[in-house]
Amino acid sequence: MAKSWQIVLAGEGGQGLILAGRILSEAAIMDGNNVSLTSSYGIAARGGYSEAQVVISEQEVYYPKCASPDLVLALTQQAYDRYAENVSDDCLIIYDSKDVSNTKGKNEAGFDFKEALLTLGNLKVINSLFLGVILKNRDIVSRESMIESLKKNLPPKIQDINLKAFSYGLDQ
Amino acid sequence: MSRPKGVQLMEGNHACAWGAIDAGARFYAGYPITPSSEIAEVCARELPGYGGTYIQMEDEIGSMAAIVGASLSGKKSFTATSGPGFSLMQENLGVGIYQEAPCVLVDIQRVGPATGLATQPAQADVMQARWGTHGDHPIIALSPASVQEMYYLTIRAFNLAERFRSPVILLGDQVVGQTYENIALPDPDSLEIMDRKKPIVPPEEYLPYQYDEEDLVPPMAAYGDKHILHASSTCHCETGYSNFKYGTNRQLLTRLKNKIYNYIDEIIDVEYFGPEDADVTLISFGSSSRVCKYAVGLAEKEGIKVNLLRLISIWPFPDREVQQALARTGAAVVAEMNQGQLIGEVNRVNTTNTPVHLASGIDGELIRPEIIMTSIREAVK
Repeated sequence: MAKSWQIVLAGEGGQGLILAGRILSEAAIMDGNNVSLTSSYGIAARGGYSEAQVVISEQEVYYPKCASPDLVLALTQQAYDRYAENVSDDCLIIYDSKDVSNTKGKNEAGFDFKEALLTLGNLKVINSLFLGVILKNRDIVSRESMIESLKKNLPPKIQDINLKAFSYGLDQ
Repeated sequence: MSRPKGVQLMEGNHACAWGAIDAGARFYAGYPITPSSEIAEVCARELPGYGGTYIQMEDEIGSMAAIVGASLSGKKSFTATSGPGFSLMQENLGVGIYQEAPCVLVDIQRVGPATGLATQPAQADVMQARWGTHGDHPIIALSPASVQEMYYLTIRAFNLAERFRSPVILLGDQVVGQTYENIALPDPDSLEIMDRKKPIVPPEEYLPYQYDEEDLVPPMAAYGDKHILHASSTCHCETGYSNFKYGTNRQLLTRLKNKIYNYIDEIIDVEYFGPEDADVTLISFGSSSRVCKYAVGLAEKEGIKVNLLRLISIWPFPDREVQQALARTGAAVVAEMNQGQLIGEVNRVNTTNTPVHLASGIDGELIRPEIIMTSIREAVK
């Protein structure tokens, strides 16, 4: 069976979830994989439910959605509730420990993103931060490709702080 | 932005727009509508750089009229739309067919009727693509299932339009339109691109609808050429002018049909997937066919041998290929995101009376594998 990953990045508009999905997807392509990226978002650009689904496979991707996620990032309670009851026991859920309560506790990791962002001194780099946290937990793509993809997708003047946030997530 | 090169992440709609540009399209007229708007977006940004024209029209009626006009003026032209816009384009699509104006109409299907579940995926314009415009007519329609195919089938749509002097419909849906996937863009110079036949007779001998016996297609001058082109939306003879004599309409409609159906092997395109011998054959197209491929693996785990006949070209309907697939297997499932449109055509050619089941996805999302699996289990009962 060829290696494959189904990753859900869920939260709300403005958290850079879809850009993060793009960065992750491009890193996976650099590693030589096939990728399918879909996104859904509410009518409100900011604040509404938003998610990106990334399927990564050495083989052709038939079903482009995450039928059985291997990893869910849940940055809001709504995002958590949407997936917590429906994913398999093998699926790792990484959630925002400040925003999500009533967790079921099985195969989950809470992370205080707010505190980490305050330490980094920039609240906007949340997506680079959570990409670091994700890679710390699961080797979905190579770190080299992820760094290259971050550089490719971000304007030069904000690259340093985002790479710093990515490393910070990776070190936790 | 310059043309992207090599392997990269790209949205289906962007791949379609680049396919059109690489095929030589230099005129786009449209009225943006989700989930097709990115095609207009790329064209607005890129076409002027290629010496082309982008026009945002007042509506979809005007958009279709404009691309037919541009085609008669010698350009490779196209438009893109979805549900409600596709309805508005139907009248002038018929004009394009009757005047034999090569052009491409991209329909990124979404849930209808009316505004429906804007802007979620569906495949419910199958019959509208075939019979949406009034009158007796042939049509060519292709159905891409991936981002890579959004690129290549767009090029093929232009090539078929030029080869047959006919509008061609690219029938995508929200899933293939707005999913991002890795795509390998070829060197545009390596592509096989077809162009319409130009007249070779002296201008004074040119009759715009006098066809060549070998392919039933009339060589095509453009407005402004020395060869005078006259095109009419009324029944016309070789001159292009109205002609109501008994027999003219029969002759014209017969030729329009035969110029496509006599050369159907140049159009029909299918993919066979899975084991040759199976308990159930899935028949599907577009994004649903991807879920069918996924279901082939799921069924295997349940001990059911399943294969897939994927229709890449859906109009003209591949009668022979479907008939053979039905005859080979004892049961079939047609998977489509509507309440049963393609299945009617499948049953039309079902001379072996093979039981045919429907897997119908009408929930405003990509058809779930479980819906197809339920039909597969029913089929082997």
